[in-house]
Amino acid sequence: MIYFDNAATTYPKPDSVRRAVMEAMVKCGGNPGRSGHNMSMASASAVYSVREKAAALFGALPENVIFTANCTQSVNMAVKGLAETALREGKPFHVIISSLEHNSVLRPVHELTKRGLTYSIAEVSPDDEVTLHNIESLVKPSTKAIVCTLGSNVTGQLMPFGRIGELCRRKNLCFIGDGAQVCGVVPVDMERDGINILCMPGHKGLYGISGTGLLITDGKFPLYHIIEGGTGTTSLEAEQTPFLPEGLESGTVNTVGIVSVGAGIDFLKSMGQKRIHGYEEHLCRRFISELEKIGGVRIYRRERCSYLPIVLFNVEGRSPEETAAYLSDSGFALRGGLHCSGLAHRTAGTLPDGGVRFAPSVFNTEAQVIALAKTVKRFAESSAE
Amino acid sequence: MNKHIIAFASVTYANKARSVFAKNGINAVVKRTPGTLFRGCGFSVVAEGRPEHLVRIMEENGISYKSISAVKG
Repeated sequence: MIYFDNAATTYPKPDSVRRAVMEAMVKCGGNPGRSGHNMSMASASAVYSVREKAAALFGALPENVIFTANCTQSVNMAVKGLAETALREGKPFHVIISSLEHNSVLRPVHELTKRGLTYSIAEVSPDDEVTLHNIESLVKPSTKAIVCTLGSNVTGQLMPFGRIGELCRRKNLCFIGDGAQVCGVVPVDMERDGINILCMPGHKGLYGISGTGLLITDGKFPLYHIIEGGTGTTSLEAEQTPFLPEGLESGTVNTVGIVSVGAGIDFLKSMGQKRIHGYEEHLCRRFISELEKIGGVRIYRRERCSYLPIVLFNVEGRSPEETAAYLSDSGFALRGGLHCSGLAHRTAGTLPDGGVRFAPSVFNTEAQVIALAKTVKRFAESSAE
Repeated sequence: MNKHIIAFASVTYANKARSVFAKNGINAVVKRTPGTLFRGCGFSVVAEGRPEHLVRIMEENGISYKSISAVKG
């Protein structure tokens, strides 16, 4: 199987990540931050070192790095944690999301409408100026936050997140960034880009194993906890631990997964984020140039946009699920359908069926891309007959 | 060399102190806070150095601590 589904989760993981996982299984078996024996201490030390690595990569403090199970959990904690106090007090709370959102943003925001939150959807244009205008025109006195993807998981369109951060600073809004596709792929610096809360998976651009996520805050907008329990501290108090990161990390963290994220960050730094991104972009350009030679294939890219290394396409007369199934039978792993992002597919004009997503990684080769394009050609030709 | 035990509210702050001390060439080890210092869960760092020096390093790095005391013996 040749894997081009890296926007869902990266595969394979670097050898160094696999080795780190094996080593952590042996050396970090104790519960970090709970017991006082050596293995618990070793686990806690290992977890802390990954906080440091993540903090350095995204321009934050280590104690403001919170480990979660995935990006969706991070977004839920951010949105619900930010809104909780205001909603409990019956105060108006309005947020703006974009028309490129994954359900990990849309659904928690929508769920909160049952408790009084209101939200607006800003249309994303190929023109960043128009997008920014659309967002700003939706700001009203009750607006407290902009919650949006930094780059689409469907088309790969990059959002002008640094400028959205500027807008949030100017309007004193909290900027919650969904960095699911961007973190590890494109440089993100919370201070420079004005992102107050950054949510990401550990298992995509950071090359960790699945079941890992991060929420990083700059601490300017306090988050209420949405899960309570043991934190290894303030144990005599019935109230939840009030400080970070433990206050938002009730229960045992995924030590082995966290260590894998640390090894992934090391891999990213040793290879060079820019170099990896450049190579993946090269594979996308090559794939697009091959697809453009095939009749009956539509590619969803627009002029003036910047893109992540993702290409959305469809074969005319075939549903994306059929195309992805054919490719799977031919040995290629791509995801077809709606990618949990009905909003983004509406924006791309690919409803009701969605599209097929090509998402290469640094471990793919140009020869694999050409082989995939030939298979798409064969399928398109058979569809036209 | 004087050894001091510094108590923290969490293992994260204890590890942050250990990491910052190491960057300043100070040997430090994270330990469970003895029950004689505080009730409930907590972690400490045993570090070598003058207390005012240790405190200054922690303050410069935004590390809050609960107490600092000399290790006897």
